[in-house]
Amino acid sequence: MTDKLSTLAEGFVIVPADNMDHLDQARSDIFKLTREVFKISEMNPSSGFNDFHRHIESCTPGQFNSMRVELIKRITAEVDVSKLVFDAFEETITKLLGPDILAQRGCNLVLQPPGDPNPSELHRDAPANSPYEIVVWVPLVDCYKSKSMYILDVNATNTCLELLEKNPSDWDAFEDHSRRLAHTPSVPYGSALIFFTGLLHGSEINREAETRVSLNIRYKNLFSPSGLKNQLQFFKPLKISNLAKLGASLELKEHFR
Amino acid sequence: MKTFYSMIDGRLTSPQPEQHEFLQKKARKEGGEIVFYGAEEYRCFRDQPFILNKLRRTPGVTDVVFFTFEQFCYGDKLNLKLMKEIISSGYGLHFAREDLSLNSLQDIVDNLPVFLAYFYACKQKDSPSHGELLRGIL
Repeated sequence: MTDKLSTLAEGFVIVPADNMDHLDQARSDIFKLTREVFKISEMNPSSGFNDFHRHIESCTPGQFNSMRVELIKRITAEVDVSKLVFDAFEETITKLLGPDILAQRGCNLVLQPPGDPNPSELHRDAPANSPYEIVVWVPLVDCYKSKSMYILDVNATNTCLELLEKNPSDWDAFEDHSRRLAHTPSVPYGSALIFFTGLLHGSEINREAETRVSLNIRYKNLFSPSGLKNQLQFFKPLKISNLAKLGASLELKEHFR
Repeated sequence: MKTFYSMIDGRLTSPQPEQHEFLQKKARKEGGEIVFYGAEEYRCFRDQPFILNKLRRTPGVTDVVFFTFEQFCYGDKLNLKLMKEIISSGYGLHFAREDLSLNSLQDIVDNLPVFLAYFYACKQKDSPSHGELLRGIL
């Protein structure tokens, strides 16, 4: 595990939380808001999320989407998800990114009920995001088979992108080839799939009997290139090292010398 | 109520009405209204010579809001001098796109590592990418 993490040879790694208390806190806070927005009486976060689709059976797609948007707004306003997830996986994230860390400000929550016809299509985040970012994908329920997501490792991603470059108008061939080379990892609640933003990934229509509930949050080093994202707008500082503070204070003195 | 001078960014492709909307939203969030607006002359946006004098000549303005922090990153150095002078002159300093407010010199000091990192990121963005550089080598 340590070797896989330190080399990040495949571009992704599945790691258990370093501190479950913070992850439990995040799940509990998010479930509380989900219960309020969707009027769910179930008290247990695990069964409440897994059976989420049973509570929205009477919703039209439009109503479901409005409530989903309201939930994400409330989570963003009321729960510091990126901090809680960082605290849960701090050791791992710090090993990958170093001591000066920025976290995405907003919260990306995915609720994917069985049969939802809108999975995440095949794509990669970088470019346009920074290729020095990581995505921390955190399931709030056990995720497996089509309830999980799929991801291509570095070699497979490069192979598929080369194919697309040779046949830029044949998206179907690119997608078919990508899906054949993809991994669909089982990621239990309590672990995270952490990946390099340059990897191709996506999700299938959820064919399992339970809802997928997951978070995805981006982290990057303070000093790494920011891609097309405005760093001050999209990210917030989580950890600034003493060395960065000393360096900044020296620059300030030199600036006004 | 706070009264804001707003500064649009003439370098961006973002149209002025879009910038005004962001600027107004930020001014209202900080409990004020925009009463005047302006922009740096295109030929000297790196040095930003206009705004401080304009503020001093315009009575009744309490704060200044820029469309983006990037307006302080167009020169060879992050324009900390102007930030310091605006705040030392008693104005609140705000950035609409980043939803950021600086009301004291200590606010600048506290945010300095993040500001400097952003400035360096801007410079990297303006440089040729490694991909472009490598294409010439490989």
